[in-house]
Amino acid sequence: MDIQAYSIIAMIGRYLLIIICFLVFVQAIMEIRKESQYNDSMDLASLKWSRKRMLFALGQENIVGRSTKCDVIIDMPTVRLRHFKIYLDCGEWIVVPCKYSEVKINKYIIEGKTQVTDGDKISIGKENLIFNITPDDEEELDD
Amino acid sequence: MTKTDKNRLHLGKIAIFYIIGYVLLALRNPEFDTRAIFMCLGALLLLVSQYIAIRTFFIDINKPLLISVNMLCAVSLIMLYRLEVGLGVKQLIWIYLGMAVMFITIKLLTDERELEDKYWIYMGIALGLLLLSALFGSTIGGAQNWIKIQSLGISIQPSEFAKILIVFAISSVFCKKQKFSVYVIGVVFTMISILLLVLTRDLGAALLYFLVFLFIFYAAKSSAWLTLSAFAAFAVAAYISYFLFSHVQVRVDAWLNPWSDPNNRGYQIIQGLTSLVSGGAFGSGLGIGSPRYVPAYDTDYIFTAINEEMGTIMGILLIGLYVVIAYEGIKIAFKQKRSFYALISFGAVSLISIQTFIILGGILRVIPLTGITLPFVSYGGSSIIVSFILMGIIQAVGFRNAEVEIEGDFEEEFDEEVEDEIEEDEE
Repeated sequence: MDIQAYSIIAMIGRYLLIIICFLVFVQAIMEIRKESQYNDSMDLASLKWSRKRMLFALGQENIVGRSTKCDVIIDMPTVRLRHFKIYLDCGEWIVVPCKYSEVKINKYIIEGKTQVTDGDKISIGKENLIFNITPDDEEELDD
Repeated sequence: MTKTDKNRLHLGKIAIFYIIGYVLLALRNPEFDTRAIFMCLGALLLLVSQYIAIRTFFIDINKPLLISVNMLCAVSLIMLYRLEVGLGVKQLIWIYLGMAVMFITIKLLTDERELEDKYWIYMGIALGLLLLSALFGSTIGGAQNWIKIQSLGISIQPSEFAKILIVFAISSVFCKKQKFSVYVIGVVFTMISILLLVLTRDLGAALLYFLVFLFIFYAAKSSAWLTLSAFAAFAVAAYISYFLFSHVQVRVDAWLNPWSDPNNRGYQIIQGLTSLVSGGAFGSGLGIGSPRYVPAYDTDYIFTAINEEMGTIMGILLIGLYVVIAYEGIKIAFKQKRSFYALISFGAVSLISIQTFIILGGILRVIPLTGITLPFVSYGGSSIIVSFILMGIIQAVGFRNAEVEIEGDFEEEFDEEVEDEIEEDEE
């Protein structure tokens, strides 16, 4: 192919190459967004630590305690390293105290698995946590 | 959204990129170039084999990282084939090897094995590699960092492979509560390896090692004062080395005022800058520019060739892809709960990002130019394979994140801790 004809093709080709690279870049960004949306949908409920004005998002299964390995870290001396576990089971939120730890729900000490509902106050040591279920806004988006 | 849509790997657009690029290259010369078509088939086979490997063994692979790496490799392959046909063919073989090594790395790191306490082994091998290049190295391009193997006809760069071991060594030193003496060993090891690199005139690698050490140290200990003081010590050392070593002086002078000596010291920088802007926003078109006037156009300065022929916008997009890699890598490191694995993935992603910053900063005259390769794009077997090993480390930690969520294996560690606490309480 002679040079003049090739230069015309190369002119078109350079735009195509840039467009495809741009599309791939956008695709990578979209994948990141998709991932983070998936993670956001995992935030089904939240725990509010009113004294420190902190809000913790809860996933499918969470361990609350003082240790840095916990999902929800309440770094206070009256809280145990691993204090209680809160998880979602068939649409119900269940609290299980760990060995040797004391959990109060709405001022009553619980023993074994106990269901919590929206707005319940969970007390561990001297700290109070308010449990809130995140409103399901996916159905609104579909409409 | 269907399930197949969710698991798509999005390699189709990259295949179209290969086809357009190689068809352009085939039409470039007066007679039709059939080799370009074979190269195109080879590149497409790379995508297909990757697709099969991921679908069968690695279904949970991190897609943004995969897409970015493939796009960078595509640009690299097409540009190198345009610059020199032989280099393009060799680069394709290296990328094949690199992909294989990446999958092997993922497999090795996702298996359960003790890697955290073996810092002596990492340090020993790393220092051995660096000593090897210091003692038997041959000088190419101003730095004595190449080992030539005459019988095989290849030359390797030990400092490239040593940087993976540096990441492992520093991570295992700082990953948990060690004795103070271990920290001292880690710092002394880093200082010795940087000294060896400076003695072999490999300043780019020295800067890279130091910054990686600093990044991992800050990530592990989050002590701003120590990090800042280390940085200050480095600034003092850099200032002193400016007066001690003549090659540092040459580099800095060429950076500050390349036009004072345009035919000698400033030649590479000036040619690079000219090449960088001569294409304009959309480039001169593949095969029409003249990027081969720049020294090291295939390795360190490949970014200028890409900018000239594919346009500045393509250059910006490539930087965007590196940002995607950095973002995803740091996200993976944050999610990992075991500190050793979090630190190695953070170290790997900081190596890739710092390396990109050093060479692009050098080309754009932001920092003094030091010779270092652009990850995944520059020509070079050592560089490509090491970049893929680093990517394998990041991906492997991503796989481990997914596993922990399912198995929840850290609960066992917990029970020990809880028991310790109970003992404390009883006392």
